[in-house]
Amino acid sequence: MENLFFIILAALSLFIFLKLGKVKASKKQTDREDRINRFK
Amino acid sequence: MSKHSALNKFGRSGNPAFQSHFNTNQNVAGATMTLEGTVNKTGILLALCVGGAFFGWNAPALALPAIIIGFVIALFTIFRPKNSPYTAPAYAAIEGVALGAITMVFESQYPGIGIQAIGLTFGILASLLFCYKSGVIKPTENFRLMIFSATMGIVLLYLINFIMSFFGNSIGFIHSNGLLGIGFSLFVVGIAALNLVLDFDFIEEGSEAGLPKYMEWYGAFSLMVTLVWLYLEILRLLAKIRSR
Repeated sequence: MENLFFIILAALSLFIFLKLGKVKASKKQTDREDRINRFK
Repeated sequence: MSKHSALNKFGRSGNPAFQSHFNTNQNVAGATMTLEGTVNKTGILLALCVGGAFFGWNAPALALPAIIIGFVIALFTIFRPKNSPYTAPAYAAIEGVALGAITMVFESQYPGIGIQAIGLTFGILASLLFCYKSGVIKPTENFRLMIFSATMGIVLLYLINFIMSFFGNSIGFIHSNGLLGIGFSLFVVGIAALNLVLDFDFIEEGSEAGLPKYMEWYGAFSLMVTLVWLYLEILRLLAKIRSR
């Protein structure tokens, strides 16, 4: 039962990563002045 | 130019895979790095890692050679990101062999620990990705400097412990299952997890800046390096807790 919980957690988290990872970050994240400027 | 000289000297992220050896030319001809491409490539690397883990599970003697080969491939990828479309899959498969072998050793002592560590690793990955995308966690220069310093501190501590092991000694609390040992492992898990935020930020910014297409493999490789580290630290933490 405990193992089943972790299997579901892993599968669900992986699904979230594969879907959410492709979405652009919110304006709150991208439009701010103290952002790390790696490529400027 | 960063206002932090340490960042300029040692790199732009706490993750050593994100040192500034890549081409930042934004007017790259042809295809450029995208979020979707990077996530797809991370999926490919994870699949290769799982494949390697099945192999390593049945051949635990391969753990040490796989760790050494994986380390060499990782260094090569960090210094030659253009080769990452070839070296990143090789790294993932070899690290998979090492992780499979290590997990088998832990499983023989603490049944079920492997799936618990996998669940927690992916759980942390998904929750931090949500926190990053929604803007709950905002990486700044100071955040990066803090994570970089802590990561380097941990690397130094592990290195000293490794050298001491040749003389039959070790730094006690690193391996202890006492409160200090568990507290140390929790701290390391926290730092490894926060390195993921820097990885997400690099990938987001890299796709905005239009880095070359091969940087998708490099971004996926960097995520894999952090995930492998996070998984191993969670495995150690769970083993410490269960051995009490």
